[in-house]
Amino acid sequence: MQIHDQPSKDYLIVRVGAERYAVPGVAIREVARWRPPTPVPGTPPVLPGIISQRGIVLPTVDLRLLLGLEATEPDRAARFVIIRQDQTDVALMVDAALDLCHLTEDDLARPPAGLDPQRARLLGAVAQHEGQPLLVIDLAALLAVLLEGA
Amino acid sequence: MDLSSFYNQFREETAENIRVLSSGLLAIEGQADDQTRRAEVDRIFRAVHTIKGGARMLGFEPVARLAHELESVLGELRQGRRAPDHDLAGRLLRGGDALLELSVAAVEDRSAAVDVDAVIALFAGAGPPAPAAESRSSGPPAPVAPAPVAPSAAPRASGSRTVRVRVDRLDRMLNLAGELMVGQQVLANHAEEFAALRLMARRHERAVQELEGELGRLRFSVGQRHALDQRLAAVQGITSQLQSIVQRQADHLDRHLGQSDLLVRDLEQEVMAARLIPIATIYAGLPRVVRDIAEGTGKSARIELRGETVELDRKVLELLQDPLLHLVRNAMDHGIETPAERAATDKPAAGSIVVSAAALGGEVRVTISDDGHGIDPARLRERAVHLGMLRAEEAARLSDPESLDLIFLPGFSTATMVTAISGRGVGMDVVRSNISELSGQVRVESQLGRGTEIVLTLPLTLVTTRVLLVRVGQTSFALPASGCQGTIWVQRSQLRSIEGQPTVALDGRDLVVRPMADLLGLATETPLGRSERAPAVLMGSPQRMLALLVDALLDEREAVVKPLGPILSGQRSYSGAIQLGDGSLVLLLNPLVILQDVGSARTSFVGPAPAPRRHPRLLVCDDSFTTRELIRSILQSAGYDVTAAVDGADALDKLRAQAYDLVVSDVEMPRVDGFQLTERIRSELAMPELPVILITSLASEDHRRRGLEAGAQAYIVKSQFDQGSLLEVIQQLLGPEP
Repeated sequence: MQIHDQPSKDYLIVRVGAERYAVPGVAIREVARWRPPTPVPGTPPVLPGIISQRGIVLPTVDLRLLLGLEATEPDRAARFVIIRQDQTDVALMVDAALDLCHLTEDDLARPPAGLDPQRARLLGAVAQHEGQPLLVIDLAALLAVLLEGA
Repeated sequence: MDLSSFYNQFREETAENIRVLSSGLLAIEGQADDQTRRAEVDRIFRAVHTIKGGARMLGFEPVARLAHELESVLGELRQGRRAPDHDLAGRLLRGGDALLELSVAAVEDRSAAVDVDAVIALFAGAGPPAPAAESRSSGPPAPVAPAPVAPSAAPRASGSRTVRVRVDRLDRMLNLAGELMVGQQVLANHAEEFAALRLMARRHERAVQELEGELGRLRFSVGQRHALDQRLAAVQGITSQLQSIVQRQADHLDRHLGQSDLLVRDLEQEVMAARLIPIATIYAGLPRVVRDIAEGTGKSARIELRGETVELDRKVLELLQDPLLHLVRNAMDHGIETPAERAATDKPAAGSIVVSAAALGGEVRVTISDDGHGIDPARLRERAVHLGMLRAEEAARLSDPESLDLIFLPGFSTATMVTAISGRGVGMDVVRSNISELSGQVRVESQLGRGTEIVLTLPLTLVTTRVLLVRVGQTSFALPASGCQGTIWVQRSQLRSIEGQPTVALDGRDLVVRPMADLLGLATETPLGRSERAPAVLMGSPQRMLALLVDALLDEREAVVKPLGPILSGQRSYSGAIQLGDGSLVLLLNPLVILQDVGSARTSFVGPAPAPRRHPRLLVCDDSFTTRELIRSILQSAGYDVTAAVDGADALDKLRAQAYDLVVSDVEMPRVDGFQLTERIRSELAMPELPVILITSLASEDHRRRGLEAGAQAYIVKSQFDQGSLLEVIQQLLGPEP
């Protein structure tokens, strides 16, 4: 049911550290409670291990580390956001899943220049949502970074 | 070359294409939109074209003839020279039916219940103003009606019906069946808890009885005694109720578990069976190999193929194909003697090679045996010492059967045996690594002067793997049981240092001892640092066995191995993960990769591995399964490394992902056809040098010109197709000998 000219897309708002990020809804398969993953020796710290979700083995990704933030001990609010991008399943570890929102093309602006490059490479856009900045994650770029070996 | 394995593929493919034809014709009739109609005509044109191509390749002349006729009518439709009216559609449908019947008859090698000429005559008259003179003199166009002779009777009678199912769908079903197995294990854990509960209830009952006895020996007033008895009776009542409920529920659970266990296993087996393909599909190239080598060497030999109907998982078959080819080549090249030698030893002039397959429980045994001169263990030992792979005293200690195993060492090939055909130095070690990748085993037996027998034992399927669970530090890991030679206890006091390496003696041989944690890069204390003795897993081949220290041996079980996905594919030490009954994950170690690291140290007695000579890598592109597999099998048995693409677009994707030495492609394909493919290889992928061979049934000069304009190096017409000419062209383009 599209009434406006501007198509809007669904995003999941998650908290990573003190910042709020938006994950494109089309790629999200499931949000699950955090649980300790099984470590895979030899992988970089960004990949803390694997979990099994409904019989499928998924690598987990510590978004904090990937975005260049300090690692912390996950608490009860921590979640895995399980996404599928380009036939690849990944569980993104976030500090909390907050809300769903719709954003139109008009809401999205280019990420500001001068961001930390480690973070900038993962961002598709920046939006204003309820008076606060919201950083939209570019999942294709995120996957590319992971496939390169993080 | 034995084509019979392709016949069934052709039949299924043809049935599918006829379905495309019928539904397409019906769709065209009701379709007003010109564009959609054109797309539909294109689709059915390709379907008929594919049938024609396959029929030509397999030598089904009547099928090809009729398909050609249909194709030209459809070609006119395509160019708008003919209108798809109701009458024509009806005739085309009848033509399709006849085509199917002809194909089935050809495959089953019986005479068809259709008169080809009569059916072809259906299309002759109604052409465009067209050449009336050309109409066949043999088939008078008048009596057209009797063509479809009892069309339904013949196909019905033949055996069970089939449905084609995509492999990925089967894989998903199998994954789900595997999940049910995991769930079953969780239930089994619950059942164990129940058994513990039952035991507890019994102990509780006994405790109550003891209490009663104790109280009986004490003195109480009558009132007190009465009250106590009442309470005790109540407690006993509850206890026995508890007992019987626990008992009943445990029984229920057990029975239910037993039943569902059977069902889940049945289900899994059925799904697995659906993925199985007869081994005959990879037998196809073998007789040619034997014949070629016989011609090249002046030897004479017959090959006998047994157990063609034995079925294996398609993945197993794919990985088995190369080893099998190599072993037959070896048997021919190293095993069978020249006729003169054979005559001198009273053997029949023609040697005999027997390849047989037999299913034994969950395994398949493939045996390659020859009646040649066998392998001399003493010569193998000398050779190993000569190559510096073994010290003389080590060699002397090897028994004859152990010596035979030497042929599996990388780089081991006796110089006197090296020939153009098989002495490439890669070979038996590749056979062994391919087979162990399949969790299988290779055994050699040879009697000097009498012949050699090589036995490959393979799992029917790769779905479940037998694994050994070990603990290293605080973490559990799984090892494929096929990669383990056994387990031992290593005492700290027994360790001896040889060349700076800790070793332990086992059956008169010294095995290098390494903590498993070291190989995995885990920073944990070695198990022998903490206690006097520790368990170790024996890994590697019998020649280069290593004892890997672990903290504990936990269990051995069947498990479904799950892939780790692309992101972790760089972690080559792990070949997947398995899920335990409680849902937790355990990484499955890849012994080959782990031992590689050790192999590079001087612990093993293996010399520098020779750089394996790469076989030219060919890409075969054809939308017909039959043609694709036929060409693939021809090229593979000629020694090329072949990858298949299902159409032009797929071929472009594959070319982007990997380098190939040559492309063999069909012309008529959906999405991107052969001409476009060639053009795009030249322009888009900027590979002006990559040789492209087009194979097609479009025999016209116009097409040949188009192909060469697009940049193809060669153009082979299917009707003139034979494997010799294809191989010749490839050799011209790539240079001789793969």
